Amino acid sequence: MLLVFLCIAILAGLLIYGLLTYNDHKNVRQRYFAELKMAENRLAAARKDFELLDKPLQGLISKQFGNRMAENVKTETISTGMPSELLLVSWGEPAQVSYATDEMNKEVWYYDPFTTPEKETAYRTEITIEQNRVSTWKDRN
Amino acid sequence: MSNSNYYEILGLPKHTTDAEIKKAYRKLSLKFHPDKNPGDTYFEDWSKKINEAFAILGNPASRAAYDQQFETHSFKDQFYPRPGQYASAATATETAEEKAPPPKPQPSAAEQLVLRQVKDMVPDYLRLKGEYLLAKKEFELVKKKQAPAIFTKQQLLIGSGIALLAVAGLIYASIAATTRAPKVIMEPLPTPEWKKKA
Repeated sequence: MLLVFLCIAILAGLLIYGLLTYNDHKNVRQRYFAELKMAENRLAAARKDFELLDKPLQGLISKQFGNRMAENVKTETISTGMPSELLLVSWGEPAQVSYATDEMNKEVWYYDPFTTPEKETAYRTEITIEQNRVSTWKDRN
Repeated sequence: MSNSNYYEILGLPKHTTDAEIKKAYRKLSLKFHPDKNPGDTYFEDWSKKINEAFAILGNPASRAAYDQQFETHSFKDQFYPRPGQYASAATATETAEEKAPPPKPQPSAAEQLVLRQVKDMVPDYLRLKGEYLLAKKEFELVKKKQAPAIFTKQQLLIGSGIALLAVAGLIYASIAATTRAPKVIMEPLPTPEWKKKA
């Protein structure tokens, strides 16, 4: 008889514990879904703002330089002869720029910096710009 | 006559009509008019170049003279490499100058204008692109976290274990009550005397 009471007491205890903690867990779940909704709203707003500028810019590039160039800019693909302004749109600002001393119109744009084992800053991609257009590029292995 | 490539300034091919030249001139004049951007030398320079190009190409006589000069390759170093142009020049005279690689293309006025517009848009574009990519990353991170369960796994495990033990205990108790309890033979009590008398 005592054993039966003990079991009933344990089960009742578990039930009460479950009911008491249920609200806490429910709150945690609600917080999670609220956070997800907020992140989703932020993403939608950022996408809307970005597209407001991206669409006319792509249209401008497409009209003047053709659909292929516009597609390259969008997919972050560079090509020889690409104007440096379009390279900026595609890859963003370079981490470092160096200017050739002998040729005024020659520049080297460095992208994707990393630290070498010797604790020096190096760059994975170097793009040479001649007369405001992409001339060559080099990837570091 | 200047050594400029007037066709390129107006953004037109060489074999274009007079109407197209006028149309391109009007369009570019409006775009590059210095009054639209007072004090900006860039617009002033291009406006001068456009007017100069139209002064030559807009007049049939001066255009014919210009075209003749064009045909003699006197401006070739300022043009985009056109199909056959450099090949014919190389076969005509084998001079060191003509063996040199073709020069880099110079952007036309229309192209310059577009590039300038693009350059003006770049800072805002990069900022918005960065914000969009950051928001996308944040959303993916939040989405990656699984929604928390109502009960944790540990709680469910402990609860099930205790419930199982309780059920096992109840079963054991009921079996023990029927099998292990000492058998009691219930004999009828003797009838009391007062009942017998009655």
